[in-house]
Amino acid sequence: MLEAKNLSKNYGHYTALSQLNLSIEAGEVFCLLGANGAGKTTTIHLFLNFIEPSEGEARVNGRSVVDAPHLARAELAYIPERVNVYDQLTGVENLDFFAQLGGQRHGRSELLDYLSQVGLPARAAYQRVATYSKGMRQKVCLAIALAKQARALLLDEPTSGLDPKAANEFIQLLGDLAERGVAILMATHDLFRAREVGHRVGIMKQGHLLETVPTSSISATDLEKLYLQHMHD
Amino acid sequence: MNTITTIVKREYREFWRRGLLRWLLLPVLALLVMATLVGFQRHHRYQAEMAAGTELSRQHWENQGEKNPHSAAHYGIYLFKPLNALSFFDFGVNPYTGSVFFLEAHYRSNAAFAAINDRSTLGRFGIFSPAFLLAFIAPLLIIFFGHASVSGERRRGTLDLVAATGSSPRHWLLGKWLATMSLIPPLVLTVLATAVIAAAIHGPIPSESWWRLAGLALLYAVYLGVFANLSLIASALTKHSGASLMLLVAFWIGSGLALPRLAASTSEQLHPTPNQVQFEKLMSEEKKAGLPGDGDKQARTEKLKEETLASYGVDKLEDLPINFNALAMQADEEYSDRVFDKHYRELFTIHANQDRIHRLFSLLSPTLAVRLSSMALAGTSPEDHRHFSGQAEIYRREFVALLNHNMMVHSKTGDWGYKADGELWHAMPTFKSQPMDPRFQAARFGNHGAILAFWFLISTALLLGWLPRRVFRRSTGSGPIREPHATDPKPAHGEVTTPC
Ligand SMILES: Nc1ncnc2c1ncn2[C@@H]1O[C@H](COP(=O)(O)OP(=O)(O)O)[C@@H](O)[C@H]1O
Ligand SMILES: [Mg+2]
Repeated sequence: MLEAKNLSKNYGHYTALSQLNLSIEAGEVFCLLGANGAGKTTTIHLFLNFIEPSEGEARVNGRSVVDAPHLARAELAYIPERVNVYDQLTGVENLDFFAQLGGQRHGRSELLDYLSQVGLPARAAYQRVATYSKGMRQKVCLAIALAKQARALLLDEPTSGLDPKAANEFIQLLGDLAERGVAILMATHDLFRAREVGHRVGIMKQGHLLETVPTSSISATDLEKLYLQHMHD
Repeated sequence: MNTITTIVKREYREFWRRGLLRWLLLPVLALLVMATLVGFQRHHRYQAEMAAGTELSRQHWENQGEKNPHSAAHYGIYLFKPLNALSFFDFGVNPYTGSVFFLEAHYRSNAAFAAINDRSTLGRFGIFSPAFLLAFIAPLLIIFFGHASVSGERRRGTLDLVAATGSSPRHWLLGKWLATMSLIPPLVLTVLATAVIAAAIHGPIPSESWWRLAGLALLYAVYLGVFANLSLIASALTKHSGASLMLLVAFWIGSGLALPRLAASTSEQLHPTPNQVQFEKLMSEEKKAGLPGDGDKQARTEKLKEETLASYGVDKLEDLPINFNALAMQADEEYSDRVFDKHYRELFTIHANQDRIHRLFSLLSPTLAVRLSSMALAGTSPEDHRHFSGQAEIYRREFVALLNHNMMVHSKTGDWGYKADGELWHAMPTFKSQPMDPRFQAARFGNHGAILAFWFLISTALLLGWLPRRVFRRSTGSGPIREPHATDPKPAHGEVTTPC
């Protein structure tokens, strides 16, 4: 569903991402681990065609995102690191707005249903987002993904800034989405949760994807060891 | 289409919930209503005063009693400048030119000079006219609404979410554009609606004026459209709303204050207006000394005397059937007129040159362009005043000629004791000013209107043609404000954020 072929991004002489090759299937959760500046956000932005690749290409459902950015985006959902929907709108109004931008109209009860599926009760749905926590705003974004019937989800450090309970809840929701066949690419520092929810984790450093490991074959402690080892190389 | 309505609706929700409509738009609309009502009232009061003043001056004239016609020519008559019905909307140069003018023998009315003492008035608006509010205050309103339209969303990150929906950036910008543009009709229509009400209260204005008012509404709509476009463009091209606000306010200052002042000082520098005292001294000297080849006043009178004696076939002035003194006075009057005409032609050439400089500057300043075309359409421009001053001068000449003629035919040379009576005063025609050729005004309006239309078209093309290709893109440095840690260009080797 998500595919990178020799995907690279340079800023002048500086290489933000170098020769990334990656393929994420429908229903698979792939976690990108890496320190700040490793190139995780760059990867996600390349899939969204927010930036143009210097080399290689990113594909969504077999379609090059540079050639057909709108079609590719129509299949994607994105939750940025600093997730912000419109403060002045309520949760349900936000959901309605973004769904309509994506070309979909849902009735009020449907919208509320999507929000409750991601754990946002109706009472909260009718409050302005200005009063929401980060976790609640992320839920609105997940509801947007649901309403859109996105085939792939791009997440940038979703658990940073969440309290542990909210983070667990969120990870749970991601698992549910994956079970429905959504391909998920998640950039994170949180390697325990990455191991928990991810089918594979990739370790990234200075624009290079150094190693990819299936989570089923590695314990949390070993993953941490492996990660730190790469960081110190 | 549906998505565009969705976008417009969201913008409006945001305007409403952030209180912008209540705290920014509404006060400006209220000011416009007030300015229109006050302008109408002022105009109405002026009309009444003018009618009363004209009536009173005529009464004094007719009832001045028996008097030598030349004394009557110095007793003079007052003219009140008729104001265009639309001067309620745009005061134009009227506050600076005055509106009461005194006509008498020998002197061209000061009406001609009044307009021009300070040409920088071209860049100024009569405070608190609807035109002033639309040209200066309304753009600020549009700027406040539009400056954060894109940059605000970029900063908060909602722009990325919008982009990620896969919707078209052109639709998104079009929606924003329509939302910002939709603030303009309420502004100009408020003036029109208030004018309709005020006309119902104070008495109707000519139907032709309604057409002009509609033209003015369109003109200001286009002008404000330029600001709406620029606000969105600035907001799309800057990283922070603060930067776009600063940029836009700088443009507003440049267009509304700096460039008009610069236009005034540049035109004054390149084509200086003569000092009024000197201007008049020069004319009176030339009247005495005569134009080249004509000889001085004494020589001219001597020549006229010989010609007159010859044509009547007499030897002495006393034998003439007419009053030679009156004939000589009229001849001197006509000679003065030639001198006036020559000097005023030069003065008007200077004005025309100065106006050209203003027009040139108005290419860069939409505010100056709207100002110049608004005055032209409202009939309150310097040209209108110049036109009036020309009319007043024609009337003054007829007025003086009639008095001299009466004295010439009804008395003998040297008979300064001759007195005319009420019959002559009553026979004096009243002043009727001819309106300016509307084609000239239309051309004026068209010139500057075209400048505004050009600004509008270019900025719209930029906004809807060029920006969509880059508004959802992140070029270097236009991304959202990153978390502080993400801005480190190269992470220290081995730096790890401890997993939580
Ligand atoms: N617009 C840009 N101009 C120059 N360098 C950039 C730009 N965007 C990102 N970078 C650099 O690219 C590298 C990768 O950044 P990023 O993908 O954001 O890292 P992270 O893994 O923390 O998300 C960083 O060193 C960052 O400074
Ligand atoms: Mg990042």
